[in-house]
Amino acid sequence: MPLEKERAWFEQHRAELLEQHEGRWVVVHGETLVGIWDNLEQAYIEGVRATGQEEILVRQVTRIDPTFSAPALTLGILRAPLYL
Amino acid sequence: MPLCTSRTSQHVLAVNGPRLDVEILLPEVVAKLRGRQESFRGVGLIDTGASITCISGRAARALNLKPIATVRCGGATGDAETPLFMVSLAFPGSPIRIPDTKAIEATLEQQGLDVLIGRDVLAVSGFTYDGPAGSWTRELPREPAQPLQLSSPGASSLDRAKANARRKAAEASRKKNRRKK
Repeated sequence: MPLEKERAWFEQHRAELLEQHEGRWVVVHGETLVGIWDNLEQAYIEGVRATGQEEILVRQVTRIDPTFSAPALTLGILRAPLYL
Repeated sequence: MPLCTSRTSQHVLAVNGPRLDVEILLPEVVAKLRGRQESFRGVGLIDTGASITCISGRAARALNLKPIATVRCGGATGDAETPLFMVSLAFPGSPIRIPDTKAIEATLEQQGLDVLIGRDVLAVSGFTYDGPAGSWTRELPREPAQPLQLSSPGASSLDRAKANARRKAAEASRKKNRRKK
């Protein structure tokens, strides 16, 4: 799994981060917190600049991880035949 | 305001959906880091059912994209962990460009696709679909691109207040422009 160390660090510190930074975005590289920003784009750009690395974890500090969905894709019906 | 209309037949649009040429690019900051911009051109489909934009694995590999997180994707058989990337999107033949947006990896190649344009991109754009006429129009972005905040259960009241302020400012600007015309 990519970013294993970074994800482990985030899970270890999630409760602590939630106390003061809920809703904000953190950047983690290795086991180091690079910084905290107000939005994803800013966090990503500043994180890459600060570390000089592309492999960084950018995470929003939330209690519950968001889930994304693309029903037509997961059901395999992006291009189902109209007429049989 | 960038506005592009695609016209085909009622049947073709119903079968293929709103498809368009898309160029996936490295985010500007990564292009600077690598010392060059790279791109991957493929076919995209606007999918109002997708909550997030998706790119094919072959596009991610071709650009050697590094994930910035893994996210859970809801599927027919439960949730799966999927890599999340940052990319920029451009649309050949149009001035429309979406800088630094997030996209998850998905198996799209078998459908002849490399991008599913989801509601995260549509949130800053216009899209109209006219089935009987076999046409659809895209208008991206409607306002200068604003970072889209995911409305997660944990979004702080400060973030919500900022988003509301941005929306109000955009609305006021639109009204002002209409009055000028």
